[in-house]
Amino acid sequence: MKLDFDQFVGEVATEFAGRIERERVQTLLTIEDDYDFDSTRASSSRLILRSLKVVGEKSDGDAIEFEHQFESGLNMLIADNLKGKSSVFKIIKYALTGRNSIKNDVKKWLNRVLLNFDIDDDQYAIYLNMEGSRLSARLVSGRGGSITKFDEAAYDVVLSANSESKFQEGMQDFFFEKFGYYSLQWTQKDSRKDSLQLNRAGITWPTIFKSIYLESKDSSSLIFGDQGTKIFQVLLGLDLTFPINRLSVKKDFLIHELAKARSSIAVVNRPSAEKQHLYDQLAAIEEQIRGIEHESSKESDAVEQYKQYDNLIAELSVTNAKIVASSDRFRQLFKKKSAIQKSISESKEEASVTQRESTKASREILRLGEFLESRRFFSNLDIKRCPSCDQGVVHQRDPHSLNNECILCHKSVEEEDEFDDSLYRSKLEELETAVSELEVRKAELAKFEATLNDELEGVNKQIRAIEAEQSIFEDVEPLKKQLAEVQAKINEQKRTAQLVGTELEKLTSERAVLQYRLGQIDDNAPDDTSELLDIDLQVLEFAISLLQSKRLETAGAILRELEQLMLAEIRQLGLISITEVRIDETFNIEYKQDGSYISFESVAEGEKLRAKLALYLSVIQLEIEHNVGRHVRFLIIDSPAKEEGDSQYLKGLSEVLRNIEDRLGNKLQIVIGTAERALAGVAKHERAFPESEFVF
Amino acid sequence: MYDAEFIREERHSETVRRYKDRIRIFVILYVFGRTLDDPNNPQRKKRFDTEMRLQKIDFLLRYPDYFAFELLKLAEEGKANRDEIKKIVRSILDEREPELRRHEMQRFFFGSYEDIDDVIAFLKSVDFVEFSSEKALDMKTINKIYFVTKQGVDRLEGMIDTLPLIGWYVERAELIKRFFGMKSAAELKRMQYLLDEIKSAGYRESIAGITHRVEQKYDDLYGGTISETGF
Repeated sequence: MKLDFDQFVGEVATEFAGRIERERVQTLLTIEDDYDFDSTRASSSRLILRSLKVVGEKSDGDAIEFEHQFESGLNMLIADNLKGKSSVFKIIKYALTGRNSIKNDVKKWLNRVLLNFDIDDDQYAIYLNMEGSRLSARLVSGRGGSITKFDEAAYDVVLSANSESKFQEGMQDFFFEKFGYYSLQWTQKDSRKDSLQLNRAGITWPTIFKSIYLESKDSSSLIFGDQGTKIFQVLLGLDLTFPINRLSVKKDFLIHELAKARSSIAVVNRPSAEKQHLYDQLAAIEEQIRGIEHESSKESDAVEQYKQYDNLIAELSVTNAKIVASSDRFRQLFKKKSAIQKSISESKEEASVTQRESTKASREILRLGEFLESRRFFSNLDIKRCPSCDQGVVHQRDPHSLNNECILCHKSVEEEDEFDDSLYRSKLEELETAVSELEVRKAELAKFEATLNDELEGVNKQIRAIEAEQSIFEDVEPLKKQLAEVQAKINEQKRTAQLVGTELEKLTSERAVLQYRLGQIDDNAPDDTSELLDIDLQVLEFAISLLQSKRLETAGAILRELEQLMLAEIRQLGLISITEVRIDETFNIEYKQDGSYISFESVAEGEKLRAKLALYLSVIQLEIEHNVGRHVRFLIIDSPAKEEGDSQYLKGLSEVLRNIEDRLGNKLQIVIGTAERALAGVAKHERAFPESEFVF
Repeated sequence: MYDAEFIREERHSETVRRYKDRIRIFVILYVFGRTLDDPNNPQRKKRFDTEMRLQKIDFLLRYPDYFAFELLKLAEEGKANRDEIKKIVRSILDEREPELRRHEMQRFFFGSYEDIDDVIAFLKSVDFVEFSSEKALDMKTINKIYFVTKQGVDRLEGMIDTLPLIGWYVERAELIKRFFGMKSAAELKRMQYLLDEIKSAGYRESIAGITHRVEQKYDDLYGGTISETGF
């Protein structure tokens, strides 16, 4: 949609006629790029993975050689839990974003990664070399062949990075350009404690990647992660989104300015301003004391008071610096503490899954072992007596009869001989190896957890130590008190000095005038500014809501379509209690359940994953079928069946996936990892790893 | 492909189950059977009375946690050596028997029950067991009586040393016999029926385990030693 900027400025200026100049309105509404920025960007493209190769070496010396070809449409990776499915996905994420979330022990195993992918008709390859302590990464155009040899001269190198942060930056630039993404911004308070600054933050490629990679454990967090509605807007790419966002940021800054101006009287009383104030006063007092010294030499201990005053101020600032430093350390320690706690809970979760798998395998060992012994116990027996008439049976085993023949009815007994002993023995051996591996892992995890607990205890100790130190806060109070006393004495002396001569009287009255003026400036200044800012703010608010309604005029139909798609999919996934999906003008999504609208956070725990799946899938469908939006048309879904395993859901999920494969298989790519073997056969391209086997 | 695999698995686990039932029932008859020396029936070496008793003993063999619980009750009531019971229950828990060895059973009208006619028919056909029915004293109930034959006794005694896993069943059966061998079927039934877990299982539903109650009772009787060993 074309928006005439001059006309728009006119529209807004008319609304505020008489209160603000048109020129000022134009300045306020000007942003760093065109209002039509959204409609001028590249049309949507598609990302498709072609192949992934990973080589490395496990800590026990086993070589890792994983290779997988990806196809358009649905790709299913079936393997038991804890066998490396998620690691494969995290490696893909690392290669595409440079953001690492691979488990530490697994990451140590990896040496080289080669990921081939296409964007529309262009081929690209990413080479990661993780052998050294620093990451070395190349993004080249063309198809990567050998993983071990990378011949730089043979390729057109798009990006060459020798550190993780350089790689992240480069990949962000690359994908932002390819998919026409730009950074919607928002404001946030400066993280430094005393700072009154407001900072600008923008959406990054790893954040957008959350709309591509649905991790197994994040289904309960906000849709698309923390910056949900922003990413949602980027993905939909609706016209006017850019100016609305930039004006909103401007508005935030304005509100902040306004608050600052209005509170500036209060600010004077804040500790930092208080110091300044004290210094000013001191300067004046010094002036006076000097004057008194001129007049009379018997006021010598005024110098002593001044010195004391000066020392107290110095002491105060040292204490203040200490407080700031210890708060910083406190924050760092808390960050460390929560990281350790997260590792502990992850390790606990893995330990409990490991325990379950180990128990399962141990049970199976006993079951099969007992079966083998029983079968041996009852082997080579002749039928001696008829169980029906209780008479002896004379007929003996025919030496020519086949082995797999029932000794009583002589019918062939396939099912028992289908599994001969050797088969069982090897199955048993497999299980025993699995159990011992799982036990080793369990022990490792226990050790790891113990180490983490020690670390946690260490951090807690440090935190307690700092907490004890917090008494320095209390040191400030007596200092202030002393200061006030000294000040009072100085004032007292001034009063005495007044008696000394008229000169001093004049000084005092001059000081009073000065102080009065200072007070006047403080009292008056904010009023003027805040009035001006107030009108600016109203102008911006009006302009934003005008743009929002213009956006809705054109995009309303698209949002309704998306609501319908999401509703249909949610219901197909088994959430029939949801009867309506609503997206409001600020892009919040609400679900109608039992007559009332609820947000995503209020959807029942066991149903969030479905709501989320429905959103992801709908956004892509909207894009393909209505040519709206900027999603890369590629999804990774890790463990969609985990913990929501009711059979209705599994059936619905299979249907939804099949339906998408049939309709859109050649226009999108979805990679799914699951331990749920009932999903076998749903996808055309499937790779199932046998039970208890590792993906790599 | 998935369905075929599934059916094959099901059929196979049916076979495994059948074999395990056969050996377990046979071990019970062997261990609990009273030794016979009947010149008229020299091939009959042991006699075991009533199917109901067989069912109740089978239950204790299949649920190590219930067995442990009953043992703790004996210790609590002073009817058995406390230290010995402590050692046995400790080992049942340490070896994670309830988790690894439980073989679930369904509740019938009056407690645990599973149809064993097929098992007995098989044991009879290979001449390990003989079998007859007698009217009970009330002239209404039919009591089933099982005889273990010489052939059966010889096979078990000849092979048991080479079958360690079946050996476990023999040892456990002997232990059950030592503590509960004197109890009649009716007493065993009553003992079982006092437990809520069995009462609350619906008709034909699996009976749930009671490991937590065992741990609790053990704690009550012997103090908090359970947690020290990781349970």
